[in-house]
Amino acid sequence: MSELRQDVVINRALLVNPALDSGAIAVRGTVFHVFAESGDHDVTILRGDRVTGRFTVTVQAEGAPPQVNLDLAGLEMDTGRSGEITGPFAVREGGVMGFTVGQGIGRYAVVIDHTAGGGSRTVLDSRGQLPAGDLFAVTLINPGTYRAANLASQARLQITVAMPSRDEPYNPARPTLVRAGDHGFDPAEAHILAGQSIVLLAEAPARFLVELVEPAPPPHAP
Amino acid sequence: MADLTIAVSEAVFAKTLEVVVANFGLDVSGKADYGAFTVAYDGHLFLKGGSLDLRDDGTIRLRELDARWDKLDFSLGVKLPKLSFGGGVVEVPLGSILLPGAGLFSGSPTVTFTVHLAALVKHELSLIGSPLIQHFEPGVTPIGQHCQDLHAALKIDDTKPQWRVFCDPQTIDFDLFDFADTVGDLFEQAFTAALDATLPRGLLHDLILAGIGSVADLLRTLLDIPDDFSEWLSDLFNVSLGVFNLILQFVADFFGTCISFYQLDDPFPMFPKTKEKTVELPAVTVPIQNLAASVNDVELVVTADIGGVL
Repeated sequence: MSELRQDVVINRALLVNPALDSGAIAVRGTVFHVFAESGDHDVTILRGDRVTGRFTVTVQAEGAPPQVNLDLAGLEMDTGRSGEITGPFAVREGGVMGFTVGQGIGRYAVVIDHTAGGGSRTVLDSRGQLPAGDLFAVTLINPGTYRAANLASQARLQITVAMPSRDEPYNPARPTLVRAGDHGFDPAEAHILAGQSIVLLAEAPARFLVELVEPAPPPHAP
Repeated sequence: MADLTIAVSEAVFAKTLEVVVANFGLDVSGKADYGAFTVAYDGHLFLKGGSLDLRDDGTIRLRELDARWDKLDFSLGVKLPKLSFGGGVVEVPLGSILLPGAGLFSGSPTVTFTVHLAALVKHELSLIGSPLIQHFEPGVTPIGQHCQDLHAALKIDDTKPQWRVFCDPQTIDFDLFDFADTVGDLFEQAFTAALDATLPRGLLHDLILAGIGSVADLLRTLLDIPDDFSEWLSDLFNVSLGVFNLILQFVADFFGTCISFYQLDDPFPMFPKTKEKTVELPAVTVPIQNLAASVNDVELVVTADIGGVL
């Protein structure tokens, strides 16, 4: 009765389930850096040891957006081998830049240096710890039990990811905030629906690792 | 008083109608881009049945001709929305942060599927026409390729000058496209199959459906259909795609300028070439002038004057 032709490419990286590490940003993970100080910031994007992008973010008190999100995978495609990005980017003082990966299997790191007075100071090297105030958002798609760990404090958080039921409205764009301080996570555990995000707020320097501990049994399993 | 009077009975006329109807065929195809979706159609319309009345008001009525599609393929290309997981806004001490969603598809995903609609739509054609006289001059009188093909099939000789009598439609009554209600189910099934093929059943499939409600809801949303699917499709064919007007124009041309119900050679061969003993007598032809046609409730009457013998 019908014939089909399709022109659809699925982002298959969503289907695999590796651990999500704030030190190696991949699909489903986003690092948000808060620019607390005005002035120029040199940003370097790395994939492994290779620099895939380099640009300047100007942080100013007024006249700039409070947030800029950047797809690191798209950035790599745009810049090719040169690594130089046309930019420039501007962010309001106290604003954030989100570093995300839209597709592919690449894992990226971000290094940000604040340049002032002829000197330079590293304010973020995501390969180490996120400074206080930065955030790491993870989108968890496969149902099951996850463990989020703050490697800086050894604190742990259990996250339960459930399939949405048919009886209630489902909106994947409903993130849950969890604070990560010196004394652990607050709240101590989290429950979300598959496809939603957990946002981990570093109230103290933190390195986050989120991994699936136990997948949920498939539906209709005996 | 006319020199020549020819009466064509209703029975003969009806027989001619059978031949004409048997040779009616309209191929339609087209496509359109409506932004959120694209459509394309490809069909072939034919006629069958019907009856003919000669009426004493001077008109000819063709009625209850069944117009059927032996092919009406409708392709719908639906541009899928940007579906993503995650995203949303989270409130933190410094303000609101917008999370980028993890996009499910790369690029601009489009799913195209074809539904065969021929069995789901039927029309009836009736028309009232009056005789229309045309003097056909080979090489002069314009004649479309489609008509040439039909003339060959109907053994209408386009190499000779002729008087031709057409049934020129004055009114055409053709049913609008009116698809059965089941067409909505058909599209839903086709779109479900398309989505299943695009997004195999499993976790992502279930989550996407959980997010959008149902395939039917998604399809109606994408196509901006408020309620009735069959009504949307009918409007598309009748108005937006202009297929209805295309058919009306074709019917008008087919009967009014393409297929004549009666032809008369001009000059008309009175006597063929003959040979009596050793004497060869040439053919005798007469020019036909002032041809006129009228209809009463019994027959078509064609009158003409004969010019000088050639």
